[in-house]
Amino acid sequence: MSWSAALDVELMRNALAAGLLASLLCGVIGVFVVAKRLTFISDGISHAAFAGLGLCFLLGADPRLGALGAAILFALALGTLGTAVARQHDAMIGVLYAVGMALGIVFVHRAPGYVPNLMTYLFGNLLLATGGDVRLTLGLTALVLASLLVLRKPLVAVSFDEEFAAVQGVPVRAFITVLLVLVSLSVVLLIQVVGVILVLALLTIPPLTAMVFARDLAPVIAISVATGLACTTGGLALSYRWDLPSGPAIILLGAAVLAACHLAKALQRGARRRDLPSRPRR
Amino acid sequence: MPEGPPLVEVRALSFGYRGQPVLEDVDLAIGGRDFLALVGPNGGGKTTLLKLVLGLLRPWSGEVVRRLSGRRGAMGYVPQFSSFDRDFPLRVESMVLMGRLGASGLLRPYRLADRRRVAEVLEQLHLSALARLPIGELSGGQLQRVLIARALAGDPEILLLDEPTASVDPDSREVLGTVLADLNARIPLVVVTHDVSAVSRQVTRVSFVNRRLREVPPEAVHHHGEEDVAAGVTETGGAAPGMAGVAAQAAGAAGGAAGGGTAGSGTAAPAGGARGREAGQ
Repeated sequence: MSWSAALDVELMRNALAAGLLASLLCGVIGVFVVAKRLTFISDGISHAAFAGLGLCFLLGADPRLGALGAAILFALALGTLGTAVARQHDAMIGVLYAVGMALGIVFVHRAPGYVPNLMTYLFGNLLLATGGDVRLTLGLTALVLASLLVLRKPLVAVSFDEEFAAVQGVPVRAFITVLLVLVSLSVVLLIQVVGVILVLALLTIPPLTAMVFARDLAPVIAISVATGLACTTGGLALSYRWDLPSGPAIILLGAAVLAACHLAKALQRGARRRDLPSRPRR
Repeated sequence: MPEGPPLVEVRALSFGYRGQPVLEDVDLAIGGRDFLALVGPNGGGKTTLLKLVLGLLRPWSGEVVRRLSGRRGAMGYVPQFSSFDRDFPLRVESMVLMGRLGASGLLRPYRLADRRRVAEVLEQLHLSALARLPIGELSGGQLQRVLIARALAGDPEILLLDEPTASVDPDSREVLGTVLADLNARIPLVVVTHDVSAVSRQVTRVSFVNRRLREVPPEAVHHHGEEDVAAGVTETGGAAPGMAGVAAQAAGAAGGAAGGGTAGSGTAAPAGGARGREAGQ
């Protein structure tokens, strides 16, 4: 089957649409996650989402709603508590994450009747994306991106310097909570693409790649989105071509891109140093 | 002292962390063209007092009265470097533009007037050439000037600076001196500092903060380093019998008798100095 034939298949079209939307999202929100150092917290959100997903399976409800509900609850709790508290007690909270994960697995295991393939949720499978999934992804992506656009000034301010933002009259706790809720919506969408275990990589690889080259927020977001799109599309193609699981293919391609960018930057720096041996360091 | 009521008034304020008092019964009035230096040992509560005045912390008891216009950004704040992440992807001009956040409205986009004001303060602080550099590539002195530019961009009615001379090169120090003097012609300034000599010529008032606050004559600290502050205080006479104890505590040589004598409160525990140091960070 050729590439164009592959695109004719609805399955592949849905996969690509969900993947592209999700990577647009992770390219933008990931910059906040990396710059505000929320990776550990995002990890927690994904684990909470998995527990919610499992519970809904057990109860026979829509697992996507369970994931969404649990992730948002987690974000609200953390926003009320304060992210500094989470960082202070990181070991304790790491245990909680594992509990969330374990609960999710137990719930799914105990679900009556059809036992879904756990691997799908742990590692994602874009090829299972339905038309409904794509519509949900579209709606949530639009919601998150629109919120980020409207609230960008206070969100960037609390991400960069909470105290200064407070002095400028920004209700810091409220906006941190908003940011965490936006991160949780994104995490739930990304779980579909790469699964609970790999979601962190999709949130961090594109911004980290962008930060190799750009040092201001707007260009970092632009490059990050481009990287996310390239990795998702490329990963899907690899998965199709060599029959690889799509989530890991996307992440491995992303990691390779990140490594290549760092290498290119290092070589470039080395070359500049040889050209201008006496260039003063700023 | 200012004409009319002071812009900011701290009344009988007490505060601490985790049940441990850091500041007790502090009174302070700032206004007019005050250039107030807050000096004292590490952990004595200088930065904490600044954050209470800013409203970042809530006092245990007592109050802070602010007679400002009430608009967002009326208080200018220059924090220490540790309050933000230098790896954050941000250019100098973008960071300074954040100083217009309150003034321009939280949700409205920045306008031309905001960008003009940013260009002005960048010029004023000799930063125009660095405007497009990422903040991660700046030297300590340059970053310090960017922090001040950010605070000035909001046209504050009072400016509070936390250790603005901590990592400043001679060039930056000169620019800083001029800018602060200019500013002080219009608004009051409060500077937390270890190094009074760096701002000594301009300072009009000095308060020594170590759990309690005591105003001392600026002559006592002008042209002296940090170590001399405590000595200068004790030299000013018998009115401050407790200050020798305060200084001793700060040096980690706190004795029950000396500490207990502090300002006659009788509440200072032998470990007060060490505890204060830890809690004040």
